Amino acid sequence: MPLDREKQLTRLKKRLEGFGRVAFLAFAVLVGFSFYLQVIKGDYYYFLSEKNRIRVYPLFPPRGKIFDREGNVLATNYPTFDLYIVPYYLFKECRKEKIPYWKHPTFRLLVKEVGVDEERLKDNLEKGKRAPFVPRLIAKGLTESQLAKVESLKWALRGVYVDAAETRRYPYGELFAHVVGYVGEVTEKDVKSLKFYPGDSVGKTGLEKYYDELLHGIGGWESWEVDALGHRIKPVAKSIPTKGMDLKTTLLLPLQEKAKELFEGKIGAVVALDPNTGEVLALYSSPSFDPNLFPRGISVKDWKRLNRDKTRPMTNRAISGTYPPGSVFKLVVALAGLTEKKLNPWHKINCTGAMRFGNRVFRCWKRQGHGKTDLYKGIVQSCDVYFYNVGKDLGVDLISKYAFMLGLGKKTGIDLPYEAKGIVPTKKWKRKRFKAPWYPGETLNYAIGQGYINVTPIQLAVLSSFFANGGYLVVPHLNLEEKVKKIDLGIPKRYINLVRRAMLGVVEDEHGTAHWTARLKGIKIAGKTGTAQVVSREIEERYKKGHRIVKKRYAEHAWFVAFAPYKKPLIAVAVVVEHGGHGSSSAAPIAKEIIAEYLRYKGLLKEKDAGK
Amino acid sequence: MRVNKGILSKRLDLGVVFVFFLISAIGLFTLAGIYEGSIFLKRQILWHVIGIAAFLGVLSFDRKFFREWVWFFYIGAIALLIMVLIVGKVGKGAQRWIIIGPFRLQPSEFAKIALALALGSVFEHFSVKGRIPLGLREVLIVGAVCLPFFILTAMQPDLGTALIFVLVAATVSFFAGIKRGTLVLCLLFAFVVAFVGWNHLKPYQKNRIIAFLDPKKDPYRTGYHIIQSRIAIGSGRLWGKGYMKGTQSRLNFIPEKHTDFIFPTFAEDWGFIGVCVLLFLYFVFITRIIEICKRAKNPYALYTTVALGAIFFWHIVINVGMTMGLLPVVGVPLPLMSYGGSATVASYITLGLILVMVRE
Repeated sequence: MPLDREKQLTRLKKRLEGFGRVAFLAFAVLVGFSFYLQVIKGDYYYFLSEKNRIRVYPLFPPRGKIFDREGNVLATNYPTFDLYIVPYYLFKECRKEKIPYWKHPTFRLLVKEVGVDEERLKDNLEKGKRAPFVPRLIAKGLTESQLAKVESLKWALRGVYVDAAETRRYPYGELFAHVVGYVGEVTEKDVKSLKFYPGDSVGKTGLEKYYDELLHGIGGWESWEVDALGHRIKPVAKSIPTKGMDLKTTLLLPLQEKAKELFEGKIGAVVALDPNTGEVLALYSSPSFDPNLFPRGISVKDWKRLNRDKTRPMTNRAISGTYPPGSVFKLVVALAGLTEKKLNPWHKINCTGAMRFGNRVFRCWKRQGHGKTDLYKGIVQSCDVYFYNVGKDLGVDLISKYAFMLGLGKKTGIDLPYEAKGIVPTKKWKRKRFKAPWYPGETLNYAIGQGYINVTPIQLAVLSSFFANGGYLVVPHLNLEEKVKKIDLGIPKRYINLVRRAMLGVVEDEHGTAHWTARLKGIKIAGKTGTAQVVSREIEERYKKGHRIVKKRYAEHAWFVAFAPYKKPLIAVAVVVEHGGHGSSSAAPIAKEIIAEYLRYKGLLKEKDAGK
Repeated sequence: MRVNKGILSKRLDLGVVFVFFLISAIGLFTLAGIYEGSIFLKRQILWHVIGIAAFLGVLSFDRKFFREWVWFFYIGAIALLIMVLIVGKVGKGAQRWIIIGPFRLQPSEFAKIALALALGSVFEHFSVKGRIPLGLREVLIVGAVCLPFFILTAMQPDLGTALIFVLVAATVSFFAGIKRGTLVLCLLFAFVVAFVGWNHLKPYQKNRIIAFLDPKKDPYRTGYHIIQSRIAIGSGRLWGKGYMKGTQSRLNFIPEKHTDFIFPTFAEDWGFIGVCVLLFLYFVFITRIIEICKRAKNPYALYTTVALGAIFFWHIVINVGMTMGLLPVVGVPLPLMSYGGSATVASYITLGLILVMVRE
């Protein structure tokens, strides 16, 4: 028996060899996996540990200011106070008192007394659970009363503190809203593209957007070593932000103010250019909005109000609003006819108030007709029949060739975002767009600036500049330091002068369409009226107590383009007034006042109430 | 004096003791690097002193004493485990400690030893009666011996320790040999238990297992420990970040960096080279114990030493495996490295018992 036992023991002990091998295998697996983690994937995990350890805090650069040409500040920065919370202290007390954080007095006071958005606060506290020492921004741009509340409740607000920051401000509010634009918080997309840190401000529209790179400056950062809870342990590295560049614009404050005043209660836009350089002197779109709503984050209420407004205050009509040019287009048709030698300026056409073409009758705006009409009279009195004939001789594509040449149907290249191209129709365009041929009758309509053609006020301001400076296109610009670009179209001066002289007649000739509305004593203004008709069948007429009421939405838009002084033009203007009826009545006086204001500013117009 | 002479006589394997102390020294050194001059290091040194006293105490008895009193230890351990459930201190979602004055006693650490001793006795009985390899009846007996421990620790709940009980019993059973049919039956039973058990796990335990299977699913909750632990180990690269330079541990990204997750702390500072050295020492330690087992003169000593050695082996493998993300996170300390009084003292006692069992 003992021998047997001895044998059994020896046999068992042999198994220990196997156990040794299993142990070896187990350790080999551990070492092998360790090799995988530390040697093969070591750099990857090292990177992850650095990412854990280092937290980068952005330092936002002060944004460049924007000035008008005289140094008035159109956009600046001012110190604001932001509210932060370090959630740790709140959580700690909640744990002690065994209450959820939304029942803690700090939370209740912040929501009820200081007016912090409850959802935003909750969201931040939830995010703060993992790293409770990271400060969370809970309210931006505190008001004075909020600041006072925070100060007086300080003893009860755990882990809450106020920090100073810079916020954009537009001192003139609505006045420059469309042209200067506004800044807002970067979108998540921007952050994901690694261009910006969250919380940074970028230009969203206007000059703020177009020159964002220049104005923004170069962001800096500070990297800190943090622990797992988000405590900052020690600074690691820092990059100092570079201040954004200031932008000096070509705008003129008094002119812009005048524009706003003139558009009080009206919808439309005005662009005033220096016709020799393309510098934008004034650019105003009405109605406007307060850009100061945006930098601190616009409230949902305000955002909805702005977007639901039927008058679309957020649209910059001066560059994005497109309208048929109406009779203003006759300038283009006249120049095309002259240059193409399809038009003899002295040849007279008899206007009887209407013209038969095919089986349709095309009417002149003057029912009784203009009688014998040459080019001068055709422009001065804006005779439709005269231009039906010119258009008929030229054909659509030849007119469009000149329209394109004169800058219509394409962007002018102004240094603003969201510029519209407008439409200059051609046969090809219509086939593509409507899958239909161009009807000859449409050419007649086109010749008086109605139908498919669509232009922006800035395009017509450039067109006006073209006639003002005697033959070259300018690129409108707002940056005072931008180089002046002139595009000589090579159209013979004598043709341009013929049209120019007729434009003078529009205002100076006693039969001119704008004679009674745009004439200014002591200064010779040249111009052209226009009425943009919105497709007539959409005019909805209602009768009420016997009066015909034209529903405003479908009424006619009034145009007036002008330049002055006639001999040596200093300003070119394009004005559009939506629902303004005929161009001469509502748009022309605005242009006149703008011109007067500018010439007064230039010292060319002495009398205060000249022309009135 | 005679006793002491016996204790330190050449018949003891001093090699394993040397490795034991070497690893303990590395453990203390690592702890010293975590909290400079902190209370943990001082306390751990105290545990080692108490441990050495317990070690010498164990050596002053002979194996017959433990064999005779085995059921006393067994019942005592069960009593302590029941006490934990009644008066135990709740910590980290589980009741694991009994407060005795300034100390917190974790009875489950000592229960492992009691179980090993009990298993030694049971298997001796089997071997004397010629009931080896084990049939179904024997396996059921072994299961019955484990069951109180398993249930009582699982109720704390301390799944890691409960698992260790099962693994130790399984190791000894495999060592003794199991009949093929019984083995198949056992495996089937294990599957059923695993399936039913899953539905009775606490949410955090389920989460741990889910996190182990897919740590990246929710890196800030369940997978957080595993991911941070892996980052710590991996970021040590070949040469390590240097002593006390490990950012994952210094900045508290590793949870439980001085107890269950001390291995990542060490691996981050010393890199793959350090890990190789440490794991080599542990391997030597285990192989030394296997060598010692071979010196056993009777079945009782042999089975007991295997059971005691299995405690060390499974602790090491499970702890290192879980910190690397190879195994689910269960709260099992790394012997001789992890901070903890009960575990440290228990390790000394375990080693002492191993030496006592094979002493001539």
